Parts: sequence; C-alpha cells; structure tokens
Amino acid sequence: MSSSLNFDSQCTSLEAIKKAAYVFSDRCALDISEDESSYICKIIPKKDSTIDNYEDFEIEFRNEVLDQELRIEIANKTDGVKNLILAFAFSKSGLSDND
Amino acid sequence: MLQLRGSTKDFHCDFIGHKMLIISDDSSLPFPLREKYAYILKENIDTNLPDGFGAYISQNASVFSTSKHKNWFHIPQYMDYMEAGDIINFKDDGSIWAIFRSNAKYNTFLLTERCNHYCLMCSQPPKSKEDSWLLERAMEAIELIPRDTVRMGFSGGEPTIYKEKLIDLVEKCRGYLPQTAIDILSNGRAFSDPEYARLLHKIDHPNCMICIPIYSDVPEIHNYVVQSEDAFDETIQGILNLKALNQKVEIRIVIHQQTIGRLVETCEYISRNLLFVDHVALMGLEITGFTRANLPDLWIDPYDYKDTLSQAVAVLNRSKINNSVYNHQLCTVNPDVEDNYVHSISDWKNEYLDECNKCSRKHECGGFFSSQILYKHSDHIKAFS
Amino acid sequence: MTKFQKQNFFQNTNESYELLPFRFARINGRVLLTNLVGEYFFTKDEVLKSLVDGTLPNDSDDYLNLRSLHFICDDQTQSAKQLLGIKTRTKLSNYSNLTSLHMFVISLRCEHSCPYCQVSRQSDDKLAFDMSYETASKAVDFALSGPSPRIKIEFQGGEPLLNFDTLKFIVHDAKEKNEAIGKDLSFVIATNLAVITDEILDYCKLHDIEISTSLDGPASLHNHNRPRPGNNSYELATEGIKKVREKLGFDKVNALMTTTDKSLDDPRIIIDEYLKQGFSGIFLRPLSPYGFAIKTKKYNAYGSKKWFEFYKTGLEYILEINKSGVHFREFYSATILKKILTLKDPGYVDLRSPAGIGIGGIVYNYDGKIFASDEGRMLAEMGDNTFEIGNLATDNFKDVFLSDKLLDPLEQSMTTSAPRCSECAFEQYCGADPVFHYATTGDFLGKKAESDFCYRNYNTFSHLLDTYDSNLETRSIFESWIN
Repeated sequence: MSSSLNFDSQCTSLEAIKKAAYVFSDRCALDISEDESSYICKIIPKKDSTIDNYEDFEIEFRNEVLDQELRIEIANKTDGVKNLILAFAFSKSGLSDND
Repeated sequence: MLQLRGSTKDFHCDFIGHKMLIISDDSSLPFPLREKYAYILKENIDTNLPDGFGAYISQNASVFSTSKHKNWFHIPQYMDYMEAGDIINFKDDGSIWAIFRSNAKYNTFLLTERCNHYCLMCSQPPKSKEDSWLLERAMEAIELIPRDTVRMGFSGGEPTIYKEKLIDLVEKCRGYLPQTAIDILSNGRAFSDPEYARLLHKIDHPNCMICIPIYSDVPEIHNYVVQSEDAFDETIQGILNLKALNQKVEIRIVIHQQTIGRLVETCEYISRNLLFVDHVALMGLEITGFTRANLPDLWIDPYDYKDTLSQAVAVLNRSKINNSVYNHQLCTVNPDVEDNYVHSISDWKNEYLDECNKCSRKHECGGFFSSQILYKHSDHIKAFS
Repeated sequence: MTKFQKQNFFQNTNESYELLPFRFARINGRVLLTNLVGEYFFTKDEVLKSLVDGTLPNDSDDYLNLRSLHFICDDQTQSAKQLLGIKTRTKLSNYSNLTSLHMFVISLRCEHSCPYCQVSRQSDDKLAFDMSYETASKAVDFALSGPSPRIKIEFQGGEPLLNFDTLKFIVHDAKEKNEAIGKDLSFVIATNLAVITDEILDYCKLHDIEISTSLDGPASLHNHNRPRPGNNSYELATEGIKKVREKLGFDKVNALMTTTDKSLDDPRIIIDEYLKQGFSGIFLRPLSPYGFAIKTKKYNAYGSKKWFEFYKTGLEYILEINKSGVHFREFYSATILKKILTLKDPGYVDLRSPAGIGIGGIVYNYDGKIFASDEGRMLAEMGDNTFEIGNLATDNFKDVFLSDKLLDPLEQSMTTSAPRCSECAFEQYCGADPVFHYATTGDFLGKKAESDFCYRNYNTFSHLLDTYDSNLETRSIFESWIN
C-alpha cells in the first residue's frame, strides 16, 4: 500500500520537505512532484519497515516538516553571526583561555 | 573598630604641610635613619628623648612639656594601637592618620572617593571633590612599607579614574615591593579599553589582582545595583581584556536581596564564561554607607539564603574555580561551604555578640562588622555547643 | 533616597534582540535547545516559536535565561558573541594535542577462544603472531615522535602477556628514549589476567604499569562469553584482580565489560558483580559490531534498541545504588555528562568530531601495520584494509598523519557538515565514527536515519539530559560523577 501527502508550495519549502524525508528514510522513500500550488509527496514504504498507521505517520511527517522549516529559519537568521563567532574563535586575538 | 584618623590639639610642629613617618621605639636607631622615623614613647616615664627623630609621639603629653624637641604629637587615646612599624601621616594642623599598620594582616589604601558607579550598598559613598592627594599619599607610603609585606590593597571610589597615574602606582609597587601581592578594587570598566589593559600588562607586576564586582548575570540587575547603564557589558569586556593578557582577576559578588535571586545563575555564568578568573569572592553585606539608607531593598537574613549560598559554592567548586565566602557567621552557613569559608578580609573588623561567647567555634568564625552589630545582623545567631 | 534610580529605570527599553546560533530537539513533550557550544535550555514549544519570531518579552524569565545562556543577545549583552567565540576556541583546543593513546598489539596469540573476537589466534607460533623487538623499537620511535605531551602505551593482544619479553623491551626502550624528550609517559596492559604471575606483577610495580582487564559479569556469564581450557576464565580474572590490588594498589586495575547478546538480559547482575569486586563504577559498553558479531549478523539481531533498554535499566539501578549512599559511577553516562555540562573534553575517542581515529588513538599491529583504530584492525582481519594507514617499516609520523587514508575518513565524517548531524541538537556532545559507519554501510558518513550509532547516542543524550534536568537528587549524583 502507498499513500500521498500534499503540501501547499506557497507556505512550505521544498528544502524542509526533503530534510523531513531524510529523517524518515529508514522507513520510507518519498517521491516528490509539483503542480501549480502544491508539492505532492508519494510515500514508498521500505520493504522491511512497517508504517502501520498512515494517519499517525502523516501527523509525524507534517510535524517534522514544520520543525525543519523552523530549523531553516533559525539557520537563516543566525548564519551571519555564526560565521562572525567562528572567525573570532579561529583568530589569533583575544583570550588564550587556560594557558 | 579602629579609628585610623585622628587629631590632637596638643602638638608642636615646625614643618608646613605633612610628613609621613614610620614609628620606631628603638632609641638606639642609627642617627642617619632617624629622620624618617617617629619615635614612640610608650611608657609613662620621664625619660630623655633620643635626638634626631622626624617626630615624637606619646599618649602622655607631659613628657613633651619640658622637652626641647620639635615635632611632637600627643596621640589621642583611641589611637593607642599605634606601634613600631606603623606608617603615620602627620599634618601641620595636628591631624594624625595611621596609613599603614604593621600588625594588620591586610592594609587597604583608599585612593579616591570619586566613582562612576553609585552602588546601592556602597560602603564608601562616592564624593565628587578632587582628592588626588590620597593617591599621592599612597605613592609616598609605598617607599616606607616593609619589603616583606605579604599582601595589601588599593580601593576607592574607582581607582582607575586616575588612568595612567594608577599604572604608575602599580609600577612603583613592583619597584619597591616586588614580593608584595596587591589587590586593586575596580569596577573594571576602564579595562574595556584594551589599551588601558595593555598599559597595566606592560608593568609586568608579579602579583597584581584586579578585583571586579559582577552582581548578576542579568545586566539590568547588575546595572541597577551599580546604578549605571551599560555597566555590565563594559565590565565583562574589561575582564576579558585583562584575562587576555593573563592579568589576575577576582570577581566579587556582594550577596543581598537584589543579587540573591540569581546568585546560582550568576555563578553558573561565571563558570561557563569566565572559567579563567583567579578567584570569586562571595561576600556578606556590610551595614554601612549607602546600605543603611537602602536597607529595606537590600537586607536578607544570611540564614534564609544559606542553601542558595551552598549551591553557588558547589557550582564554582565543580568548575574548579577558587572561591571564598566572606563576611558570614559560621552559624548562618551550611557545613558544605566551610572549606570555602574565610574568617574575614581584615583582622580588626571582627566583633561578636553575647551569644558568641558561649560558642565553641568562635575562634573559627569571622564574626561581625561592628556595623552589623550596631544596625542589622541575622536573627539566627546561635552558639555551637 | 532620591539619588537612587529605581529598578525599572534600568529595564531594557529596546525590545529587539538578535538570535544566536542554536538547535532544538523534542524530548518527552519538552523542547530542548542547545547553543553553539552545547549549553542547553529546556522550554515549551510556544517559547521556541516566539523566540524565533522575535517576540519573546524581554522581561520574561525565559528571555533572561536564554540571554544568559547565549541563545540571544541584545544591546545589553554584546559581549555574548565574544564569549561564545572564546568557548568555541576552548572546545577546539581539546583537539590540539594529537594522539596520546598508542596501542601496541604485541601478540595475537591467546589462550582464550572468545567467539566474538576476530583477531586472536590459538597458536604457539611465536614468530608468526608476536611483535619483534625490531618492530617494537620502530613503534616506540613513532609514538614518541608525535606532538602530544602525554603518551599512554597500551599493550594489547591477543593476550599481550604471552609476549612478555617484548613488553619489557618496549617499556625499557620507551623510557630510555623518552629521557631526552621528557613526555609524560604511562603504561597499561590490557589482559584477561589468566596468565599473570608474581614475576609480571613485580615488574609492573617497578615500572608503575597499570592493568586493564575484562569482567563481563558473574561466573556464568563471563565464562560463557570467554571460553578457555578449564572453563575458568572468571575465576582467573577475579583472582587476578585481587592479586593486582594486593601488589600494585587497589586502583591500579580497572575492568571493562564486553557486551554480548547474553549480557543484555539483565544489567543488574553485571552491576552487582562489579560492586562485589569493589569497583567504583562500570562502563555499560555499547555492543561492538565488529569481528564475529558483524560476520554472523548477530549484531542486527539485538542491535542498539535492545542495548538502549539494557543501558536504561542499568542506569536506573546504578542511580538507586547511589541513592542508598554508595558512590558508584556509570562511566559512559559520566563521559557524556561531562561533555554536556562542561567545555572540557573527556577524551573519549568514540564521541569526537573530527573522529578519534588516528588522532585520538592509534594501533601498531604485531606485524608493523599501523591502524587508525582497534576496530579498523578488526576490519582488516576480516579482509578490509581501509583503515590500515601505514607501516612502521616504511612510514614516519608525518607520512601517516598527512595521508589521505587517514584524512579522508576524518574529513568526510565531520559532524558539523554531515546531513542531520549539522542540525542535530546533540551535535556538540556527539562524535563521528567513520569506522563504524564504514563497517555497517560502506561509507564513512553513514545514513543517520538507519545508523545504530545515531540511534544509541541520540537516545542516550535525550535520556541523560531529561533525567538530569527533572530530578534534583539525580542531578547531584550525576554532578558527583563528572568530577
């Protein structure tokens, strides 16, 4: 048996869907296609794995997509400062900590 | 409590201004040295005063009445602690100031009363008037202080307002007293200028600790306690600049109602971010200066925060940060902080309550500041059996 | 006094704040946030959302705590970025000293015939399976030529005591050569203690050599795991432990368990055995997928899910022991907690990124081959030389440490850039295990969704953090473990 999940492409990023798919890659593969307004994700379960309940799986998957969206947002908002901090960490100036 | 400054009407001097001298009771001191010393006559006996000393002092005025000697001062009774080795500043108006006591474990030099903070619990309420003569006296005193002095301190006000002149003082200490560890109490903000930190570093004093308060990990609370906006970040920056140059830094936290709420978090902040500081001092409240005015906003019974204090000490110990608990009474702390418990910073402030006379551990206990006895102390002072 | 400003005067009026890099995970209905250097904060979903939206009220406790822990900074706390930089550097400095652990496989021969062991030989042929003096001398030169100020030489086998002459040669050779170099040099023998003698112990005492032995549990379990003629491995091991303590000192011997499918039935009887033998803790070791285990597909049969249940039961039991007043540690948890709660690295080679292979520990095989890790050596015994990174006969320290055979797996497995790892809330506590992932999936990185390494560590981190943060009593026990 297989099933499909649709995501509104206006409010969901493809990157988040792909990242979520990777999280569940032990249980299924995702065949992603796109029409005018949505991403259509066909779930292809792995042979030896069991997705007992598609409703539960859908909830789990959609929540994971939301979390991934949030992660992408955090990364976008903090990439600049992260580079700044790492540049400082690798620079010669400033504290030489315990020595 | 000892009074370090006094004055007498019964004196004679032929100098103008002031004269700083070391007390000596040695009547056979070699003549060339005597000029730098004030001869102390302790006994009430009518004896011939030795010649050539810079000044003569006694509690017994009558010895001077027939004397041919100049520069004598009748010492008021409240200054009877004076003894050989003490450094005394005499002024031509009869004022006498014990600037350094040879028998004290620790001497502190007040360098100024000016400050850019206005701490709620300041024991030395800041004044704005020019007082750089205090620094000048300290500079003079350094030449007279015994070379084997273990440790001494400089406080304020905010000593860094002197900028380069404070650095000169440190340099003079290194020159005259290379064996003596020095503490400088500062809010650390001046060192947020890396150039200023570098000036201090250049002196290369072998044992100079800058003692800097951080009252909370929450900037708004720290700034409120010190009554200055933007203080927190500048102080942190100052500490980082000093430690980047391997200068010794102590962090001081005075525990009161405004700081107790985040004391543990503050110690956690220190253990995560300032692991490299050399010492953390957790200090009880002295009921003097501004503290008395702000007492309702500051007072919390040490007995009521003893578990929090234990937690704070545990956090620091776990991170292997040296730390000490000052100005507390043994009966108001949990046994688990006793390894970090310190009698007191200075030896002559300790006083006790009647209850304490029954206590089997009085000799281990730091006791009280006289201000605490007078105005406010824990309701839970209880003798150990 | 009117001269003093009220508290609200100092309230931050600028409501905007800047997010600092952080990651999150969901644990038991709570949200765990971890920042760039692994400082953590538990909170609710709403707080996470409002934090990211920029709408967290700046007088809320969550705001104050998150700012203090360097998840956000504002006008008042610009120092946060510099402090994070310093902390990052402190963590990285843990890696500045290459390779302090040097494992010398001085004999493959062993009188045990443990089924999970892939490397040992039942043989009397000393020439074929023992390390020669010549090879040993080269290994010592190699070990001492690295930059680490601390060098620990661990004698491995087979049973290293079956080649005691070479062991003695190495101790003397290393001490002599180190005189001019002045490194902090120490020795440990990994032995099953079956063939230990008074003569050997006297020698160990003279040279301050420590003993690391195996104890899998009570006699039934231990002897089942470790067959030998006479079926008395347990008796010899426990007598040996006693002897070592008498001769060398109580703390000069530690024991490691090998976890097998039979062990997983009940951790409590194993823990009881360690208590009984007077040990101050136990390492509830993950199961090794190498050697016999991977070959016979036994590994997948119980896998890490079963191990995790085993670990949880064991940890709970150990916490009960501590609550009764007996100080007893679980070393795997202690290692992880140290990584979570401090910036110090406990030096555990399996939880490092870059991985610990080669740069954390290195193996000199009896025949002069150099392996990046003990597991890499076992893989070679199974016919795969991927982690053979050099040969003492031809290569020096620099050749080996700059070789692609070592650098490729290190680079390709870094967690900061690995899919899923790079966004994992536990990345700062975890590590890369290129040998494990290569052995199980064929590439150094592995697929994290299917990785047993990932499953085990993700769940262990979650469980430890959740337990640490929920219970004050447990918290203080955990804290006593990391000191």
